[in-house]
Amino acid sequence: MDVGKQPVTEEIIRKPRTINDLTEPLFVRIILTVIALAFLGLFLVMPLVVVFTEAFSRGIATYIASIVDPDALAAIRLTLLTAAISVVVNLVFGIAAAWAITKFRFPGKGFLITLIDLPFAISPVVAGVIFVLLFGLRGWFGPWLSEHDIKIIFAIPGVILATLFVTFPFIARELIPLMQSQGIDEEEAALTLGANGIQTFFRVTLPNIKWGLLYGVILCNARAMGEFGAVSVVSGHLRGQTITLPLHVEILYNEYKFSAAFAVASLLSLLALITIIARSILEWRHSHQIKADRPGGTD
Amino acid sequence: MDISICNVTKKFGDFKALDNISLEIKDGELFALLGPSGSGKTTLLRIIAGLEFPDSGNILFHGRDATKSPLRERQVGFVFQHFALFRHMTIFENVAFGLRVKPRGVRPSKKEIRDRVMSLLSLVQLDQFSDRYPSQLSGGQRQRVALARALAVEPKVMLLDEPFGSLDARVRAELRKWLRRLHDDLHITSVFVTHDQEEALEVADRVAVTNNGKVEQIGTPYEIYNNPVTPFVYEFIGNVNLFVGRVSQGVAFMGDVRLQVPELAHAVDSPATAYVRPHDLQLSHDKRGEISLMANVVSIRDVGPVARIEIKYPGNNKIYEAHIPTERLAELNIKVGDNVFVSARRVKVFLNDGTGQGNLDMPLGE
Repeated sequence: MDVGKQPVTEEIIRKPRTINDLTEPLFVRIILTVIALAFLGLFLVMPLVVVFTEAFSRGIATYIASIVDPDALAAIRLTLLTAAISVVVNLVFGIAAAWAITKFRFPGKGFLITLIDLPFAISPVVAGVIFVLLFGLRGWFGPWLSEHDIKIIFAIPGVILATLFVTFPFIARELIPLMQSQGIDEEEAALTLGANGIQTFFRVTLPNIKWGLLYGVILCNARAMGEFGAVSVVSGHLRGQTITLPLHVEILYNEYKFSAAFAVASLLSLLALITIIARSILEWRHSHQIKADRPGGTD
Repeated sequence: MDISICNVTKKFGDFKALDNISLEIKDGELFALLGPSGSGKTTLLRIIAGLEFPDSGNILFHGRDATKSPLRERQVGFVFQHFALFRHMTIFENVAFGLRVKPRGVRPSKKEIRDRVMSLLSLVQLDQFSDRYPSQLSGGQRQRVALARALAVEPKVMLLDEPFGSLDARVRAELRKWLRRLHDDLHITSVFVTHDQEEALEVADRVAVTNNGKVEQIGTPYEIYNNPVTPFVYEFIGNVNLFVGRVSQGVAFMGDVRLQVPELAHAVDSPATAYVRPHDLQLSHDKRGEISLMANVVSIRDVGPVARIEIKYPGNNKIYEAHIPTERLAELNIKVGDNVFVSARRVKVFLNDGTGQGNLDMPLGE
């Protein structure tokens, strides 16, 4: 090893390094870029373009009519309600879980982290089926629920529960690594300066995690609005009652109302675009903040 | 405020971080907890602060038991190793934090907060940086902000965890002197943790040397340096040469050397270790005194007032270090490879089982 090493080092020293030594040849770079762009164009941009062209293929009037259709409006309302509840519940849960996991030592911590990841690992359809098995007419709690005249499956609570289940890792997962890297020094400092728990949270912890938190909220919101599989199983497809936007798109499509289906789909695509833009803005701010934290960090 | 630590024990799982520690910190003194990492010194500091609670034992603040009292009631200022400044607040807001979170009844007015923060910032010579964020300051400046922030709530006790640990050598030496002066002005009882013996000996009024969760020795820097009571303290404070051998009835046999150690008359063929500081070794061209050994010079470093000379003793082929004044080196005119006579001025012998120790002072004529 040592014998072979010597001449190599000398060669590097003799010849000054240029950019060419450190990167691939030009044609390789061009080919790679073209492949990446072509792939993105084919599988991402084109479908998006198709959605919007199809949506407007019968003119603006049809587009608007498809959206102000009572069933469509009901679907929009339910989707917004579901997303709002999911975001709020997961916000509270996510902060609590991340706080517990990163700031305290307790038995079963690893298990809790694994549990939070569960919805990522399970297929949404399975999640839906789980709720049917629990709360459906023939499920574990079914008889008790029907006795007390509470409807969960094939009703709005079921849709919300399924969405909550699918979206609950988003905020916690975003916060845990962030809070882990920040440690508990600042909280301890606040406590030694006489702050109580609530003051410490609102004045020290929350300002430090706000960008990560907002990022988690955006992802959680996008997923809550777009969730299909789990909701499809528990919703029962009661038109105007338990239909969310993705389900509404499917129904219209199955009924061969293509331009209406694409019109509603374009709303969801718009949401996706807004999410992506918001996400990039936040990522930019986030990296800015991290950069501001870094320089001179160890001197 | 004086602090008494009585029989404090703390375990983390199977690891005993503190093992029945007792010590007294006097009112107004600057006290150092010195020890290698993992010796429990930071845990002890955090227990004094109320950031950790002991498994058993008590902490008394001015005679009052504070073991169970939450940290808000203890009135301690804590400076963290990595300063733990609030990164999203300006320097001004960092220092003002402790005042702003006070309950409404005792919270100072906006103007009072402003005046107090600005006077603290000028005390730490950072008044012109009040609008900056922590990330825009150097390590030494951040350290001073952390101090000002802790002082803002007028603590009765200041606790500093490795206060200079993350600074570079020059800034560290400067801040050390500055901290000492600040303490002399303010007279707040202060405890700081360090693994750097030079730092502890230079700054503190008294030092406790800790090892494996136990206190090895408590004393003034002079006592700790000149009269270490355990082999650990001897090895941890400053450089030292070790000689292993046995002691029997007051005579130590270290290789070919015999030393009379009357204090160890009780020992019967016990393994023992003798310690000699490098500056207690003398070099000469001729045999001096009873114990003078021939050794070979291996290397010479003569930068500064003290020359460090490594010598190899042919009896056991081990290398020892001697420190002699550079002028003396010039007088002797020693070179690498020369043979010289080595004699010791002061030797301390410890029995390895910890049952005894003896001092030998051997005045050697020049």
